[in-house]
Amino acid sequence: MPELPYEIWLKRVRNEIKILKKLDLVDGRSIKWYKNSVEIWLKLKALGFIKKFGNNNLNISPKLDHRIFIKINRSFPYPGGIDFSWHSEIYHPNIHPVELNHSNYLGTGYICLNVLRKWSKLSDLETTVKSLQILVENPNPQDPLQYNLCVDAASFFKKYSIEKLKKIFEIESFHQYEVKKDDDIIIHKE
Amino acid sequence: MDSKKVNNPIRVIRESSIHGDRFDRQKRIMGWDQERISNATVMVIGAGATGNEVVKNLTLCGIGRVFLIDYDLIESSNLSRCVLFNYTNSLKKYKAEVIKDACKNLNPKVKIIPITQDLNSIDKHLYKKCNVICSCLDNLEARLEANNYAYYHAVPFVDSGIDEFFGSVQVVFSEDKDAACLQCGISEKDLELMWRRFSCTGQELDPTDAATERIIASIITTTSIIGGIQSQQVLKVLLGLSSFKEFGHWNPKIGEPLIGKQLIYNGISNEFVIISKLKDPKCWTCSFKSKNFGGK
Repeated sequence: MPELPYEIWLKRVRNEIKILKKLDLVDGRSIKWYKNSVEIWLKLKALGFIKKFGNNNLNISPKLDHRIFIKINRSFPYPGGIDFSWHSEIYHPNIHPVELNHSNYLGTGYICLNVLRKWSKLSDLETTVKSLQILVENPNPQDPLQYNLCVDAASFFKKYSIEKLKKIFEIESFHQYEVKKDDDIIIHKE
Repeated sequence: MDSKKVNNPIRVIRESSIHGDRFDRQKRIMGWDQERISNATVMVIGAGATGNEVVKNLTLCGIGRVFLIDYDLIESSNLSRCVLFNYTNSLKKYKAEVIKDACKNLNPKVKIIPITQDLNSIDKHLYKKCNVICSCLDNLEARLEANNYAYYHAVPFVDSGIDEFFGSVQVVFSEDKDAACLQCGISEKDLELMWRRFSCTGQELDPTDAATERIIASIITTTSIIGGIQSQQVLKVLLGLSSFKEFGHWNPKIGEPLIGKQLIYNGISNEFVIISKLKDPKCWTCSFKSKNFGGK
């Protein structure tokens, strides 16, 4: 893969992170700078579900906070320059969380989303994170990842759509995320 | 006839200076500056068919120094279109080193420095030391990397491509602000193809698989046309650059190189077409000085 000269790469990555900070998705402590890569722990707010036995009839409960690990490599923004992995518990047909006893963190934690694979000319971290939120809230049970947990989740979400679950758990509306400083970009307030 | 005995102001040129000077014929070109050519350093990336032509042309012109980058070994299939390789003693040797030895016979004063490494792993300071960078490559990845570094270090970059009867030459130079770079013209399809070659497992796919990569058909006639045009662009940039930096326009005797433009040669209809490339205002490489680079 080709790479950009170091200074251009650094400027680009800094600008991307600046936007993430503005959206309150990361803070200074969650970013680690290395010589040829940057590691970011992202706090994502989206309506997902986790498996919880004995909680109710469905054995499931909603979860709003998620953790994602992002590694930006030197070949960013060319394809393959960025790695995502899912690091918190979730019950979802297209996301398989990292197994905590697994030694290689990047080995698991797969997210099945085309945007993450095909980094296009107009992609940036902000749109990618937004599309991750959309994926969490709109699971695609037709095309699950081939893990037991994901296949199980796929059959569950085929029976219960997100709209049904929202009624069951009495979640009326959901904020994606709010931009605090700019008044005109507040999303989803009904 | 001895010139000392002639008693008139007309300058008499000795026969030896006409036929004895190696570069006499090219010095007769208006605007030519042999000293500038002899002090120049050119980086040639790729020592394949086009690379052979370019190095040969530059060596015969009397260029100062050439960094020749290629990590490949010579195969029998290379011999049909490379002037400087020969059948008897160059098989299974490094292309760059064979060219260095062959050029000693052509012009012993030219310094050719072979670098038998991948383009990714070379010392990045080499880009700064060059007056012009030439790419004679067969893949987009290396071409883009050379484009990025050349643009960043403000070194003129001459790119070429060939495909059977077709060929193209494009020049990129960051001091001409409105001119496009190679990254500006990259499409989503190119990125996708690059990604597929790299693939999710990190392994390259089978190169014989036609869907991901194909071996490019080429003949020496096309490569020598394109290599000739490319090396002429190098000479034009070398001779005209000081005028461009000083007065803002290229030396009219030498002419303007193809900066921001692409010359396309169509060998089937015998046509040369020149198209202007569009500059992408959000380009990853050439918009890095803009304020909102990488953001919205």
